[in-house]
Amino acid sequence: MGQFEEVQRFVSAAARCRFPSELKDLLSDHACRLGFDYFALVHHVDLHDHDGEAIALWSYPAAWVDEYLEDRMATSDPVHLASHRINVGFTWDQIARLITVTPAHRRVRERTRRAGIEDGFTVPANIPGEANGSCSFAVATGHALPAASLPAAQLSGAYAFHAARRLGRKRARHPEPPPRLSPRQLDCIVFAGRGYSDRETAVALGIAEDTVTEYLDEARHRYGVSRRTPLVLRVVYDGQIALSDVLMLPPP
Amino acid sequence: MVTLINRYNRDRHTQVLAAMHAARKRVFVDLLGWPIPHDGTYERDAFDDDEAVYLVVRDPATGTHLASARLLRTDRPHILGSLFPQLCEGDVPRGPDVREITRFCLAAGIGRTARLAARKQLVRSFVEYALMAGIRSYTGVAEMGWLSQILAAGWDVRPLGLPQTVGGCLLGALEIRITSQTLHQLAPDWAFEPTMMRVVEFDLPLAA
Repeated sequence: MGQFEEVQRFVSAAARCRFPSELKDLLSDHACRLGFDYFALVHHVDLHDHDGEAIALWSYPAAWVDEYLEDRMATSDPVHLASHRINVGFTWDQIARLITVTPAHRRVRERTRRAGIEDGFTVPANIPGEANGSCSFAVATGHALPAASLPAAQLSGAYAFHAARRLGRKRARHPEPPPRLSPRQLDCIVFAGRGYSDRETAVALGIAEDTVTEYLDEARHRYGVSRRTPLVLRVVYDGQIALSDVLMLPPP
Repeated sequence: MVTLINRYNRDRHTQVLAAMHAARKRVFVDLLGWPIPHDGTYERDAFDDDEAVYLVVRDPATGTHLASARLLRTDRPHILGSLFPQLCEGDVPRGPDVREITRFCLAAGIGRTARLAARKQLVRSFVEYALMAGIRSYTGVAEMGWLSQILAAGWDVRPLGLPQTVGGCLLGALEIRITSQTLHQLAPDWAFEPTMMRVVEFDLPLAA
């Protein structure tokens, strides 16, 4: 079977999966057919705090998964951090081009290698309003990454993550909908995120400084946070404003 | 407000078409750096011919261009069929019930809220136009980084072949199937609120 046919077979089967365990078996088999030894389909959250909400399906050796969870490595996993900086798949040797690798990151990579997971290819799945996630395909010690399979893995990774999201309760959304903010409030939060003072925001938006202060106070109140930094982060996380709005990047 | 512009009414919409070509130049040439033809002000290529159909989201008060897309017939030269047929594993999907979406463009500098609202209207007009014109699916060439978001948006999207790196971008050919259920399946960020008034202004005749 050609690689594209294999991807098509996987895409149709993944759409029919009814349980995470079914998806896990399917993806495990598919990863092998593409020349990988392992896969990991995860939301990038500390899984200790996200019982039953976040996606976490993997075929890594059980001892490694235990060690990874026990030592809460998700938060300093360079693969996860790198995947937040890009939206197409990357091989793990490209990580240093995407993030500043710290000693803590290097330690996680080293421990991953010692656990027998040599190299990998990760497809990011960053959906506005949800926790970031990714689908990684990896090879065991002594095996080379199947370079010819990476385009197929790019497609399969996106569809696998989509299938996992669909599988009901495993979505890492807030149980409650995010607080409703007015368009003007969101404009003020965008400027707060850019480091504008209330006065500067007032000038930029052509409204009174008191109004800006009022808007931001009320938004903080609705989110139950006392400072503007957590407010900006929460509103970005909920997808009510885009990171690109705050950073003034070109629109998607 | 969404206006459908084709060869029959383009003479009456020269201003908004010019604004669209200027917005396309800013987005695709200036921001994204695509190697496509432009004259310094407007981006326009060989596919902007008499058979091209444009869906243009406009400010209802001023008529200004807010967002737009170009739909190309697939039984004639089009981007996937003429420039990227290698992205399809099998035959390039062609036919009267398949159109290609190209130059999906949101105006820059109109603010976040207006941009999202314009995107919703444009997306809704894709579905409405498809249902009216008997279009079964849209094809398109997309950067693969968007695939996760296209899937999360609720589209019934399928790959037409393995992605390939072209000019530093990982591109893939996709097909989006449209049915009467499509609007209900779209995620809230993409679906146009049914309570909001919408106007799709068509100048007849709709098609050749």
